[in-house]
Amino acid sequence: MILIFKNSVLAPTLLIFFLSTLWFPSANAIVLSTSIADTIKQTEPVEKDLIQSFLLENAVQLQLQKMGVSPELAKERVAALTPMEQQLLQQKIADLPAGAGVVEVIGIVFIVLLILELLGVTDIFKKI
Amino acid sequence: MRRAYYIICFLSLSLVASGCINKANKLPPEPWNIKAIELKNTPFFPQTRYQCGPASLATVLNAAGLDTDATTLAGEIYIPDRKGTLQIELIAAVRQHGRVPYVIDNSLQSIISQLDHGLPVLVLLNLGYSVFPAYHYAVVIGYAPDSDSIIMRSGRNYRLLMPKNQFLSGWSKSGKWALVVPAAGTLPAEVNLQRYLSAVIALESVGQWKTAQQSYHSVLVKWPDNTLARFGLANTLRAQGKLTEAVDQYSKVLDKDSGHKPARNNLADTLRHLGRCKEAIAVLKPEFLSRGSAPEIENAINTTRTEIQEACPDVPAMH
Repeated sequence: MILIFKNSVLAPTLLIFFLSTLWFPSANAIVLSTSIADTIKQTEPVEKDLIQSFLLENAVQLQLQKMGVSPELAKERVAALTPMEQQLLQQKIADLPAGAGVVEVIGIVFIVLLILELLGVTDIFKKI
Repeated sequence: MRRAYYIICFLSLSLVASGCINKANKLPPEPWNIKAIELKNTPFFPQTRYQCGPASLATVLNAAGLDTDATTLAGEIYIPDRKGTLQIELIAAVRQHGRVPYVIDNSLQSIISQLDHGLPVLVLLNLGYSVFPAYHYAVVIGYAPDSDSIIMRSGRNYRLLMPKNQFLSGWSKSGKWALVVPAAGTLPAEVNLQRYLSAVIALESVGQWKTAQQSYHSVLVKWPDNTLARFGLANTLRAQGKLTEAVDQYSKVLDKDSGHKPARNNLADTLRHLGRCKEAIAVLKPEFLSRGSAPEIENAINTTRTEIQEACPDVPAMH
């Protein structure tokens, strides 16, 4: 049973749910955050469901890990994001622009030149 | 050979047509009468393969008075499988280092204003084509009118001069995204108050109270009547345990806007923590709270009221 739950989000979720019912009999925050007075609400949704935000954090963390980030760093990086940013990352981590470097561009030009060369259209490389 | 010549001409023409000319037509002509400027003291961190994000971030963070380098930052923002860095994580990393990440207006004039203000500008460029993008981060540090070029710390180039039109083309294809990192407690140039305050509220939500406090303070120096900034200042003070100072700021919010329910709730709760029961109860008098508002606010007020009654049994009930 423990093995099945290992690395899944279910066990920690249940644990959090259980603990939340123990510790927070009235789940309302007493001190209201600044964002609640921000009329445009760009920063984050007002509702903060404990379980949902936990699940979201976990999902993003796993995505980062799958993309080659170490588990420890992935956890820290997710914690640094606002709930809204986490949501965006979860939905679009593979599509958002990833700034890489000029190396890529040179690579593309090289490939185009190489194809032209192989097709016999140009003969740049023979001259080099 | 002649055939090859035609093919190359056709290919370059189609690339130009798809990538440059269309974009250039969409750009509104910007009035251009800019003098030479170059932030020569901006530090430089040459990028290693794919890691222009960490290198550019290191540049602006060090310019903002921090001491960090690209290798350290790579662990915070580089995604190996994407071979690059996302804007969101770049913004988050600025917050983690205790600075406000401020996304500036999307005009070249706005970049120049930041440079005039002494701030290097981190930009996202698309050096490829819209359909075949090649995103690249670089840091704009100046403009050279004699060659009509933008001066950047970019990749392995300490001082890259990119023709203005080429820069604008690449910048437009990235959605004209640009970011500045002001030193602690200072504002960028041309502040869009709503956008700046949103960035500061995000700092609060990741627990960067001290930075948020300094930033609200600098907003209030310039706009003393801004209620949102003052409410934010009060909240950051409270979160750092400076309860008496928080009480002063909450009260100032209510002086300006007596119907500010979140400030009323937080003030009452802070007063209770200070053991000032009578004042806490007075703050939550029903006549101040007649207007209906969001359930979250109503619930918080009810909870606060209950807690005050439990903590202050000697004081008569409010209803």
